[in-house]
Amino acid sequence: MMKSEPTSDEYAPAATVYVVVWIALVALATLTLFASRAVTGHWGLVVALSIATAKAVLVIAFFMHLAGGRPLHRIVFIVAIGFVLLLVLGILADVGTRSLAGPYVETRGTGTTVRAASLVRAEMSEADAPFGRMPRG
Amino acid sequence: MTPAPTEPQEPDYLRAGAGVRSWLTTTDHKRIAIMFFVATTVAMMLGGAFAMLLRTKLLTPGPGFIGPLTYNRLFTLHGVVMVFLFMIPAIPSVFGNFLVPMMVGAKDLAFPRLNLASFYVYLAGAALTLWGMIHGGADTGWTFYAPYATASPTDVAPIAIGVFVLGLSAIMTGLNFIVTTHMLRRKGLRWHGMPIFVWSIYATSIIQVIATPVLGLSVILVALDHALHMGMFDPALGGDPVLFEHLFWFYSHPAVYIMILPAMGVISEIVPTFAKKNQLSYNALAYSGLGIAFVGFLTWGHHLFVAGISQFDAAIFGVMSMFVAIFSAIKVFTWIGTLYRGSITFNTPMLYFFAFVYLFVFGGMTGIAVATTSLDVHWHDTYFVVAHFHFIMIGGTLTAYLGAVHYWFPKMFGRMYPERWGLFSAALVFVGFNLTFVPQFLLGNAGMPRRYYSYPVRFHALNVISTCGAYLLGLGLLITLIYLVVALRTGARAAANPWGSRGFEWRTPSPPPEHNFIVPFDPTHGPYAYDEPPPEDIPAEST
Amino acid sequence: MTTATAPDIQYDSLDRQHATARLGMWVFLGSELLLFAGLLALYAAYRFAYPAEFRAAAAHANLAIGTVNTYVLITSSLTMALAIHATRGGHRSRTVALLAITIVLGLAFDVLKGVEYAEHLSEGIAPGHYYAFDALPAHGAVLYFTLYYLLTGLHALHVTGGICVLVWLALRARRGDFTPRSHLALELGGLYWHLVDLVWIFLWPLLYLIQ
Repeated sequence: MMKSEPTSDEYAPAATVYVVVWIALVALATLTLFASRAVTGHWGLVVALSIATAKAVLVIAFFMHLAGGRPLHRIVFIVAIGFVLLLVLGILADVGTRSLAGPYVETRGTGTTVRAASLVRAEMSEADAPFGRMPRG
Repeated sequence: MTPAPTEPQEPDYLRAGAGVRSWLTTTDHKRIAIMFFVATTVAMMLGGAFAMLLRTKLLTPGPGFIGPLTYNRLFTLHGVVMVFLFMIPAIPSVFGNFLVPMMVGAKDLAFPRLNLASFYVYLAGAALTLWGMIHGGADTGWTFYAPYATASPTDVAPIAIGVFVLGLSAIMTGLNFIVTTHMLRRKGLRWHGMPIFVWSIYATSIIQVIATPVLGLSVILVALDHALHMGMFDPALGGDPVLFEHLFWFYSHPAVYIMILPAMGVISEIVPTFAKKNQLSYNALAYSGLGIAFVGFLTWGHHLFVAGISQFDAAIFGVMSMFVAIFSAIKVFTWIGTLYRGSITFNTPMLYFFAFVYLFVFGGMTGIAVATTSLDVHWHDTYFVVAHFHFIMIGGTLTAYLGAVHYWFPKMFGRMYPERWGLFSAALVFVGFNLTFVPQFLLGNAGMPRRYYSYPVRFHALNVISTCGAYLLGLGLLITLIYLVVALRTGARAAANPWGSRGFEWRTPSPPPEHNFIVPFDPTHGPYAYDEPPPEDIPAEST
Repeated sequence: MTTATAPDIQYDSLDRQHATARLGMWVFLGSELLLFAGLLALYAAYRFAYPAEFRAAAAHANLAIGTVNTYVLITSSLTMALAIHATRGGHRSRTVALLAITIVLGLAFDVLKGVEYAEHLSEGIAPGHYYAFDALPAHGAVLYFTLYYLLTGLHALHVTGGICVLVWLALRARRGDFTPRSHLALELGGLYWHLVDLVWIFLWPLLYLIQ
């Protein structure tokens, strides 16, 4: 394949490549089913998402021709995925650490007293604090 | 014999094809830019009118000529109109559209029909928002925070959907610019040969494409919550309102970089021209823009410092928010360094540049201040924050926008604006702006909350000063609009290159022909090559 | 998206124009990913907060339909890719047939989804404040199902839009608009369809396979 810009979408795998990829996708989907029974809890999520990622890579690389296409297309896609991860991880970084370090709370009126979160949350029941009770002090 | 590059043989883009229909169905990026110019100017006037009403009410501490609900609607609409109908599209959709193809040596953008579509989608979003306004408008603030946005008695959904549609227009625009920059540069024009303005629009466009879909989702969720009680953020269903803020600000913080990066691109064009000197460092300007675009995505949590996020998260966002300022500082020092030993012309665009530097640095430093978590705990939701972002948005983006309007007015319309009026109203705008917003720093620091209808009497004097400043600012802008409209008809005819700039867009007549260049320019003579003699295809500067 | 013989005025060649359109499509697909990202982030946050309720609620999801839909979409991606392959080889009727199969599979997905929604609604499983499923009243379950409707609803909208595009492409293919060298609209439509499959590849384990 020429290094210069392809004159058409040159990446054209044979039909058998597509069929093989399809078989792999079906197999991986079936594997996911069994894995979800076998591995539960947090690891179950990891396994399921890993297999999903593998399936996604197959679709992107072969069906969407990213494997043999322009590098710029790969960069565009990877950058987009990166920002998806940023959003998800950024939010998880908040909700995941609220039980470790509660929020700032300020009261107005009599000066600017910053109260620790625990004093505010003390009256809340478990059900009201979905991301965990705030630590005292 | 080839015609001289500035002797037109075809009519310019304004005269090529007459009649309303030729404008409404145009795919010429320059005409679309002009249509956006008109639309965004109307939006600015509308948003400005809302601001005047707000400031007029704030002349009195207690009840005023408008009621509290109306007041809440007005500040909501002021924000929505100013942010989504003016600030976000203004420089990219007007100057980006007009100039980017010319600056890369192309005859149009990559997708001209998509460009026209983006204009009509903008109008549709504007119409929806306007309809929402007429139906009373929302009272939630432009930030639509849950849970109030879902419980508000006002009609939130049309405005939220209007914002969604406006977001679609922005994504289309950003996509067009990204692809154009990659694929339509003329032969011989490398990335590092392009004007910095294109780099700035490129960085802006990346933010537009990445961030706007998240905004779109968040406002659709607000509309669904309000109209159909979806309750994604409803504590009664176990939801967390802070999650809305996460989604909203994931877009809306990078959005402020959508607003400032094109402005910085404008400055990067104005300064070399009127200093008659090459940029101090091309790479510094080019890459710092990308730096701002990227790091700007890592800072959204600073809007949530007291919303209930964990201190751990707040700390991270506070530190990241400081990093982004490094790139802005690089730009400011580069511009100032470009002036050093330059041959400086003091005219209206340069006056706006000086205003920009002063106000943007001031505003930026107050940004560092509010990024400091322990300080923001006190300043959050006070007028300190209001003053901070108006310093950046008006003091930064609007002054650069006005600089752009004056700098490229001859190119776009073939007429010169009246210089004395330009200097005078620039001074008015600057003085008016400072009078309006410096008192607001003091008010916020003293504890006056934002979005409040009434305030304690001890804040009265500063509020009066602020309102007087607002009237002065409005007057300056109004005068600018008037003399520019008049100059369209009666201004002196502009030469192809009245400023003696080396920029690519000046190597063609003013106004340009429909397909931009009579003779393709030679990119080996760069857009800032003031140390070289002018290339043959640039005519000598005319007065 | 043109298969005209002359490029638009700002392009030197039709190949350049097609390459530009492909880049534009990839940028658009990137923006689509970010659209789903917000819902995925909400899912992540609420699943973190209510792990037990999510597990219990997912047990009431229709795993059979969800799984069949997974296979349906995977297969539709295959037929889409093969349709473009057929065009490259100059086989017009095969292209149309493969596009038709893709459309049928897409419709099957939508129909199954509709059946699934109807089944849920008849049990009282509705989004947000309309939720009336007494067997599982917990907050986390309501949030799970609201997210379920939002995620699969947004996805189904995209599937439906994709079907409309595919119908248009099939009509154009039947008319003979596509040549082995020039079939840009098919390529771009195919990319979109694969994205729809891609999103479902992640939605399925996240919504149906929580154990």
